[in-house]
Amino acid sequence: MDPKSAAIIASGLAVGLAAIGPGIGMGNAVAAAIEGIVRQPESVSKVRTFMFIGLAFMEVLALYALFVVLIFLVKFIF
Amino acid sequence: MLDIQIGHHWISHIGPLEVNMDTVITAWLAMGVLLALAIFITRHLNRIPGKVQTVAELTLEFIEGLSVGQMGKEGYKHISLIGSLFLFILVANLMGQLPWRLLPLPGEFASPTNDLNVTLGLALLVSVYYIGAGLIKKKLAYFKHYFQPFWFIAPMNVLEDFTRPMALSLRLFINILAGEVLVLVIGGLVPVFAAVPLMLFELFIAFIQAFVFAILAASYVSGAVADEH
Repeated sequence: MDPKSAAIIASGLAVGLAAIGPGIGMGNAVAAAIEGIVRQPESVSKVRTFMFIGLAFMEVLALYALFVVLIFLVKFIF
Repeated sequence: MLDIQIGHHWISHIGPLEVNMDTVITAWLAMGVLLALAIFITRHLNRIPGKVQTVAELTLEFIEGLSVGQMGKEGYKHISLIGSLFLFILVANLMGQLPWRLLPLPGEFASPTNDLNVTLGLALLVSVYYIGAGLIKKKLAYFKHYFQPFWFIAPMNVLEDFTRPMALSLRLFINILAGEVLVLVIGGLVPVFAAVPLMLFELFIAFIQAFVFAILAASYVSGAVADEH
């Protein structure tokens, strides 16, 4: 396998694998937030704020992988 | 093969410095739009608000809720920072959806926030601001929070001051850049119409990212100025 195709396969795998964890975590977080809102409808704005902060922290984990892959692709392929 | 280029900026030199001219121009354009809107809205203020003034007041109330909801009474002091960040990032993100590619321009005209230099500048502004706000509020007692809850946690707390601007800037930058690359790729695969729903989704992302940036800045400032119990 030549290095270029290895780099392409590696970058695809990296983004895909990095999306698993944050995907599960964000699913759990949104499920818990909806449950909280259904139990206590008057707390919508507070729950939404905390949910977004939490989602932002989880999302950045997948984005780190995407960042590394983009640097990789720009450097080795484009 | 798709012909996609990322990060090929229109670079010009000022002394020994390299300047990404496309980013600078679009950033100034975003500021110009905001300034023009602000002047246009506040020129004829009325006690009974018209349509434009109602929208402006709702926006201000939203920003006020964002800032005060995080910090309590303290939040009224910091509305100018949180509001400026939110509005600038929102306008800057939305600018990426304008049809720049129809114009014969050099470089990569899109959102100014798809350049790491802009987002890192904004994030460093936030970290300087919250450390400064903490120092002004508590004087030297601000440094006590590094040793909470145990003294040996101090290295982690110092490290946090460095990871915060990094995470804040990377989040905004990568979200906007990935959105634009996604639209480019789908537009390259299916030239007609397929990218339109994605572009609508990007409008939503633009709002969410501005909201997240502002709310995280508010929570950092709130953590720095909060009273200890």
